[in-house]
Amino acid sequence: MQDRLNRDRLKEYAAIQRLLVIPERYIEILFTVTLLAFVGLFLWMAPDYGRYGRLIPLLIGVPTFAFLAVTTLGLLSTRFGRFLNRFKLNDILDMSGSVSQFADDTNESQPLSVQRLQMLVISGWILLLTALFVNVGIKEAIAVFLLGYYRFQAGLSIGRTVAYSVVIWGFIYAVFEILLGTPL
Amino acid sequence: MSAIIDALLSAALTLFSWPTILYVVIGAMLGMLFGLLPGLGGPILLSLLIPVTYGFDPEAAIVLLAGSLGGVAFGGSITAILINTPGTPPNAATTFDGYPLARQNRAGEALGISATASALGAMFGLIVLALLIPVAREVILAFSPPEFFWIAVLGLTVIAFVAQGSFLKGLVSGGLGLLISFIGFSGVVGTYRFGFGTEVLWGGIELIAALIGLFAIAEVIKLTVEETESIADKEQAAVSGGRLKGVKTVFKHWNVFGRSALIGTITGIIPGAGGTVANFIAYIQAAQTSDNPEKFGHGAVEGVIASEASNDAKDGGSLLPTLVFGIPGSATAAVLLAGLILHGVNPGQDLLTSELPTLFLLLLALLVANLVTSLIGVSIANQLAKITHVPVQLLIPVVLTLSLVGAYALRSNMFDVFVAVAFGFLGYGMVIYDYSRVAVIIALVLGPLMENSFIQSLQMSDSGYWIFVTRPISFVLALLIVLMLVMPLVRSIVSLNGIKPTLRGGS
Repeated sequence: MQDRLNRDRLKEYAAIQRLLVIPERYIEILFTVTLLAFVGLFLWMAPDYGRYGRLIPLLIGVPTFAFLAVTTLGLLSTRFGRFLNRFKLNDILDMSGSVSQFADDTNESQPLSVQRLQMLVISGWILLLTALFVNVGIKEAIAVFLLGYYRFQAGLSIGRTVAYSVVIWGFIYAVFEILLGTPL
Repeated sequence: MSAIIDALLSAALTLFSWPTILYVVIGAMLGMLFGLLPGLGGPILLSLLIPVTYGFDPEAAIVLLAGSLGGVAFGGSITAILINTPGTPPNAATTFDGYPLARQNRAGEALGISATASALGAMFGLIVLALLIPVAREVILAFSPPEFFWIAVLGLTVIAFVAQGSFLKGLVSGGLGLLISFIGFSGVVGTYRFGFGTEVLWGGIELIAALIGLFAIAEVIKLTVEETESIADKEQAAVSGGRLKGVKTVFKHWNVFGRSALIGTITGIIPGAGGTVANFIAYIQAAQTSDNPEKFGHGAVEGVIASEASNDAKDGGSLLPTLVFGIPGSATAAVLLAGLILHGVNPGQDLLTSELPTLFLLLLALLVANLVTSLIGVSIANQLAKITHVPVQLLIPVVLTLSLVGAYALRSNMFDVFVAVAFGFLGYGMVIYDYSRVAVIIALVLGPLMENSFIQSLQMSDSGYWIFVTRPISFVLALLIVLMLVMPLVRSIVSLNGIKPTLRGGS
């Protein structure tokens, strides 16, 4: 029994490991293809509407789909991708690479697997908070989330966890429930 | 003219009444705080503030939002000078000379320069805007649906082009935002569209929920992934040196200030050009026209003047297309516009005629917020900079809970929470894969205007689609858009062929 559990854990661990080291390019392809499917869905639905209802969505949707398809091709073919990357918007202003501070890139110094793990962790917290909102209630969800995040994610002492949670929960309750009259 | 003066007086009386003036000060302080924190700029602050203002009366909400907008720009310069980290992208050029000045133990002087140039720059931009209002009023009367259609397209075109990143991805971002804006029931079309078989999308995607996701939640993910411990390193230069000297320096270099403020205002008027572009153009012109260009990057006071004057002057300029045509000049202006619309302040003719006191209230609030921020900022700059050392792990739950509760409070609807979360993940994907979040937001704002004016134009037209090019203003706007689309492509192709260096004298 114990061996089976260990084997299952090892399998899970291996699955997570594989997920963490998938090359960034594949994830980008997945992201672009998702956008492509989303736009494709719009194009598929648009002809169902009347003349005025479908006109602008089709005028916008068709080129957007085409541009996304080209972007996807650029990701699939390295050579084509290099060609596309030469069309940088900043070239218009000759500003490319002039200031790195405000670039939106992720931190390159972190290994990819660490970044992925952090991404999974924060996604988990966001989805947990959302699920608690729906299933437990907003006030209760906020309390549980704050206590959980500060204690387990931030690693704060119990005293500080409770203190921060009470202050933030009190602020949200005062602003939204009391001041704005929004039932939480 | 008397109507304008009456409106100005009425706005001033409202602004300086109690507790309205308090909202300006609170907004300015919050703006400065968010400006200080790199990554948490104007759009995020406004996204979080808008839900807080639901229960406010429109005047209080307007001054709070305008006040916070006024505080962001100077707040960003404090960290740019003290710790070499621009609080907001448009403060980037301030680091070039501001931080070297701080390293030379002249941080006080640099902050004095920044505060003075910011306050005077904002004043300059707002005065230009106020002077242009009578002209804008006449111009807007000449606009009907075909012109508004082109104006919407123009706004989209410019924004897509100045977005950071690749040409195609800029256009894709705009297209995506437009498609999302078509979701829901359209009164002009008379159809419920793209509901994906549900009824929850009848009212469309809530803009504020999308904003909260794209900016606030996406930023939370980004900060976590980067494992940022605190927003800035603990290396901090002392605020010392003569702040008064800094104030005097701006007046001594009045020509640099004047040119930079003018560049900022004009760049701000161009929808989508934004503060970062204004910032760099002003900085480059200051370096090019300086007698000592070699000092730039090593603590040239003119560099800080140029950067900050243009940055604050652009706010006044960017409000012109935002308030007159409903075309936001920047992401911050887009969020501000959403907040104004939420409180019943609609851009366009009404705002320039019957709602003129509201317009002046907004401008005065922005002006006062800039002055308040500059005064307070210099006094407590050192203490404020310490906020950037608060561990990110403490900030994340605050931003996350406020974001989701803010999204829910929009309509007391759980679906808006899902929208915010979905847009959060979309926003993070856009950040790392170089798509433009700004273009999505602008498209979400402009999509309905574009489609409605397009259909209204066709409905009023006797000549079909020709209505879009046979009217003089429409024709000029269409031509302008074609030029804007073609020119960068031509330039890119020319540079790819290696002709670019020749055109620039081989440099």
